[in-house]
Amino acid sequence: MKRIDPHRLRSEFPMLFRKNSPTYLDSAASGQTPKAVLRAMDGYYRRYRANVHRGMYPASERATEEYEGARKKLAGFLNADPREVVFTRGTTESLNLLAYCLAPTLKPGDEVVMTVMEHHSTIVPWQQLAKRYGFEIKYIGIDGDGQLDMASAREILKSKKIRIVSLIHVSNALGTVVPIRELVGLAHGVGAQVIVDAAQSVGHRPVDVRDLDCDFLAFSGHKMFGPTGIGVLFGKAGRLEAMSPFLYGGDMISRVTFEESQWNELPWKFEAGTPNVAGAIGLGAAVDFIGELGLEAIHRHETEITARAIRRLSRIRDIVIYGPPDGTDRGNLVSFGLKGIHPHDLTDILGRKGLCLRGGHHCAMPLMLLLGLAGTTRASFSVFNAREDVDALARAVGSAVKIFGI
Amino acid sequence: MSRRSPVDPVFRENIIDHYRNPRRFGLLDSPDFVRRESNFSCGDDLEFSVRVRKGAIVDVGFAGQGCALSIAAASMLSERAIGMRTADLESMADGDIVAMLGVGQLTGSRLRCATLALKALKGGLADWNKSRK
Ligand SMILES: Cc1ncc(COP(=O)(O)O)c(C=O)c1O
Repeated sequence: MKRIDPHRLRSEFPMLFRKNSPTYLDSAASGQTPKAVLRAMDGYYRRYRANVHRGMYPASERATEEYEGARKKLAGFLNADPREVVFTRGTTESLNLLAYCLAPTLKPGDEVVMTVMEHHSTIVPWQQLAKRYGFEIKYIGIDGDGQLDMASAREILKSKKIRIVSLIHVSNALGTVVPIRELVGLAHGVGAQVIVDAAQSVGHRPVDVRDLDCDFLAFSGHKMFGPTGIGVLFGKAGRLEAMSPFLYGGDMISRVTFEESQWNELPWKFEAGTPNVAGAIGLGAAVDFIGELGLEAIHRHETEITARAIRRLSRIRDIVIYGPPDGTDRGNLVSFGLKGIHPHDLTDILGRKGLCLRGGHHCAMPLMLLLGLAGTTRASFSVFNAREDVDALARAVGSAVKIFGI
Repeated sequence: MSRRSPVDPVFRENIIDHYRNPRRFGLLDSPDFVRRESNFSCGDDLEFSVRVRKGAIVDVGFAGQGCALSIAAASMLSERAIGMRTADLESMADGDIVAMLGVGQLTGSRLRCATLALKALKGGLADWNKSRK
């Protein structure tokens, strides 16, 4: 198998390769952009900048070809059909699209199930639409190790009233991996459709939508070496066909009169207006970049670095590491805290030492409330992170202990 | 990677001391007004109780939780506010808090932590003044 060489790869990421570059440990919030992705977007803007699906001149035809080519790359990457790949602004828009399109088909008494680890981009849309449509939301809890409580999942997923099950694949707050395939089986058993929030899994571990058998899957380009402002909604063709459009406008129609409109075919039915052409092309280049490194190799590297981080950090006195223990399948991040130090202070101290981490509730406030935490400090890892980064982190956390005299 | 002095001014000893042993901690029994302010992004959540006599602040007590900067600022400002004319408190600005803390420059989210106490006291005072009219 290919191996990742983080030192060699660093030169691919302009922001990391300057003198005095900070140590970037925040890829779960947003990744870094490799030169190949920048070049692809630059090529569009410099050489064939035009709208797609419209012009009858070479630049527009090239733009359409590259835009649709990016869709094909993403389809191949996910093991989906290109008709099932809708470009959106990102995970948040994909999840809102689904909530807005599916909620009107729900009645009072119907149930929507999700985990307590969901991101605000899942919880808030469904919670707000529940007020309008009167359905109920049920949450699957976690155990003391931060693993999904499967006994409770099996119990909850017996109800025939469930119409939608929305599951985070890898928790951005704890690193927990949710057993999607097993839950999809249970959900389909009661006739529910399953949405997967794959923001933290795509690009970090193999994600095959046919293997997961989920009905929908959402993710963001910017967390997988792509640009900001582009993401994907995968939906099984039959499911997308059954749905009404989300946004109306150009491109999403086939025929319009003053009285009536007919919708375009998949996937364009869900892509109203001029899309983010450069973003899609950049995301396609990100898929190529991942392909060259090898997804298995990326996963192995990130797993090794994360395991080292957990080992090094757990030697520090008064540290608390949240989420599943070392040795279990885990996302490429570690959330931690020091007793007696507010996560904001700890993250700030690390930032002052040139280490970029995220501190706070990680857009999972309900989970933090459940755990009784003001927040956590989170380090997350990518292919350019090496062991030295982890060692620097452990030293800096150790020095925070000294500053606070705990 | 940038090298900095081991003890950054933000986490100087007196900040840590006020954080560990906040002064005026605990709400007053019969305050003239109370005011709660939160910084949801980082979980700072403070409540102030204040007594006013003849246009001056005579007692302040606060409770809640937060990061070192928000607690240290609440502690120092509560001490300083006692004996102050209400008009003087109302004219305090964010820069005065940064100067009081002695932490050098503060940006964005850290400035919001440091000034949460002032926001609470000024907001509470403004509402109290209005309610008496
Ligand atoms: C698990 C998870 N879901 C959803 C999102 C939202 O992604 P975006 O902000 O790119 O729409 C994020 C990222 O913050 C995430 O980590």
